[in-house]
Amino acid sequence: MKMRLWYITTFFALTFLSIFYSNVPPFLYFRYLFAPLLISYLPGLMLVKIIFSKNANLDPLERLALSFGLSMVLTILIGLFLNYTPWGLNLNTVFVSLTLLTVVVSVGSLIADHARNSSNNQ
Amino acid sequence: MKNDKIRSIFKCMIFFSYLFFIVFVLTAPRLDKAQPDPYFQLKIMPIVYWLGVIMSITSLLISIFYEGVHNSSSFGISVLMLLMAYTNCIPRTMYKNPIYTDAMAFNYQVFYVLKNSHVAPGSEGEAVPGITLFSSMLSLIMGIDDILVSKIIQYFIPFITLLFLYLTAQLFTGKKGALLCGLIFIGFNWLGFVFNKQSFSFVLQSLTSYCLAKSFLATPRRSMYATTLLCFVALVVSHPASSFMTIVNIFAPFILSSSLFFVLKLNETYLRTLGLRDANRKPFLSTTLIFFLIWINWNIHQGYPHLYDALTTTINTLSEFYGSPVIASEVQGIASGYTPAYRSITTMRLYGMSILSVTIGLALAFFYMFNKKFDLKSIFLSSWFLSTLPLYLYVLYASRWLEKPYLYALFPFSILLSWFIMDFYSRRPFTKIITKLAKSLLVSYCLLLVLLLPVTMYAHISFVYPSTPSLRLMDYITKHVHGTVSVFGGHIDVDYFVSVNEPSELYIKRIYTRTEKFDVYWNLSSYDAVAITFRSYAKDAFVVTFVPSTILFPSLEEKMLMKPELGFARIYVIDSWDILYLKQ
Repeated sequence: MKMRLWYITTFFALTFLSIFYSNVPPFLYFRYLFAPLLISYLPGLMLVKIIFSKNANLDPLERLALSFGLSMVLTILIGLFLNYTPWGLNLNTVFVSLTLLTVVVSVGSLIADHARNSSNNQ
Repeated sequence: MKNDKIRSIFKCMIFFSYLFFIVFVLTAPRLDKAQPDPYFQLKIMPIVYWLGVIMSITSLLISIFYEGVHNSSSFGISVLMLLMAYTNCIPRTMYKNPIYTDAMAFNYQVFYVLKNSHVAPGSEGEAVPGITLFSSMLSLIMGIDDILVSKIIQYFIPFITLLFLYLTAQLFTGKKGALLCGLIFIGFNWLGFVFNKQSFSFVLQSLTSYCLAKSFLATPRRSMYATTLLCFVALVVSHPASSFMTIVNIFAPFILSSSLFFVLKLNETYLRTLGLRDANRKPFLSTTLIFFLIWINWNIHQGYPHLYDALTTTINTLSEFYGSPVIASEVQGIASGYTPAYRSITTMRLYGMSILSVTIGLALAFFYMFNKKFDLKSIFLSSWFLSTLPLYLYVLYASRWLEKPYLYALFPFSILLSWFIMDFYSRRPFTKIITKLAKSLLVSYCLLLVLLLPVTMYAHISFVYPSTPSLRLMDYITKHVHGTVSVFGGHIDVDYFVSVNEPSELYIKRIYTRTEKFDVYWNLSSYDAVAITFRSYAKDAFVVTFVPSTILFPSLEEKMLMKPELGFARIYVIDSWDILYLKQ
């Protein structure tokens, strides 16, 4: 569980650096690597971890597909929300909102995991 | 011994599929090099491309029809993705003017968001913001422009759709059947996926359908049901018409099972013979109601405050499928502009393949309803397909719009067909010779279908390609005109030239050239100049010609530019179809 937290933190640090500080090749390619993951995979992955427990009847391919699909769904809804704010959609708002969303969902998944583990131990 | 041999052949095929793919990617014509020719794929693809396609199909068929070739489905699904990349994804990013008429409008929407941080008010992007929002966010976060993001999305859409199709089919047919379903889907999907709202919503629709099928037919229900609702909200936001089809698809099992049970209960003996068990119909009805409420809410949010207006929207949404006399006449006008050679190909593709798939699907739907035990799976899948059938009535009206019902029906049709074929092979009711004959027929059919794709895939879509006078006009603007200029591109499609509420507002798009530098806005009165380059791109079987659009230009001039309050006057005329208007 702690390792997952470290992975997520490292990922965000690298994504932040690649998006805001690497605008020339070869560092630019890190942006092309990390940024799509932030928008199209990670939020959904964490949401799948919250919604479906490990015992749920889902194989790895289903989890992967749902992670992609739900990320798309969450991104659209976040975008819709941002569109109605005065700031709108720009790099800062998009990055901050996606990061916040993923962090919140990640913490939720950690709590859900913890709750499931403690109920299994009892 | 025989299995070992087949396994070796299979491994060899997989290896060569990947090898040819790598060689193809390295040797393929670079991006933006293909000419705007509907048959460019046939003309310019290297031999490794065709070899790669054949290898992929053959290895897929081996893994489907031979037992014990491989244990995991990961090889199969990866080859399926490879085939999708060969036939759909890579060619779409290859041609010189990469934006279809339809895609141009959405490129403009993304462009507007990148520039103004908000979706264009009063535009189509506001009514269906899903694709615009997702693409804009991807564009912002990756630091790429609206053109490149439209290319990336065209990789994204088919892969995810195929993945969800595979997973949905797996619920009905098992892993091998799901692979076959993917192959059938690729073979029949001659429309491909463009960068537009419907292609994008197709991903969400397949995701919602998968979640629905999973929550109704398998466990766990509650968590999957929550996921379904979330997906449906995104679908409504992305394309209300598609989401309405999903509502119909969910409502259909309820109606069908109710009517079937009503009819069959008249004959108790028959009922007992079938071993009929009551399908749980309540979730279908409650889901339909919840979905409908979400859908209505979005419509109200879009500016329909009263129920009456919301109902009007429902009717309008339906009429989008069934059309109107105005649209029909325009479609006929466009169709008459095509050359005879083009029309024959269009007819073959639109009518031939669609009618073939509808007929097969219809037969299979009835087969699964009446020839099997009445279980939830049969009712679900059969009614899902049957609920798309009414849309096909529109075929008789205007063939161009066949694309929509065809897309909606393709998903359940692929599953139905693969389910039937897998059933056929698992039962083996015939002699060895007939089974072998059927197998070879199926292999030839799949090969033919998928190999036909690169030949005919783009024949029904017009490519946007600026003509020489258009380029001259652009050149003149660059040199002599100062201020903001709106450029209306010339092509045959009328969809995106729609007057919004105010007469001075018009759906504006940029003509697509790399040198284009002009700002575009929504309100024409805020412009210093307006340029129009209405020239249609006409396609013969192998000839590309430009003809003036007799449909668009007069309507635009009548609607917009002749209005004195806008204060525009003709200033530069290359010919009668390339004109520049300046404010007086």
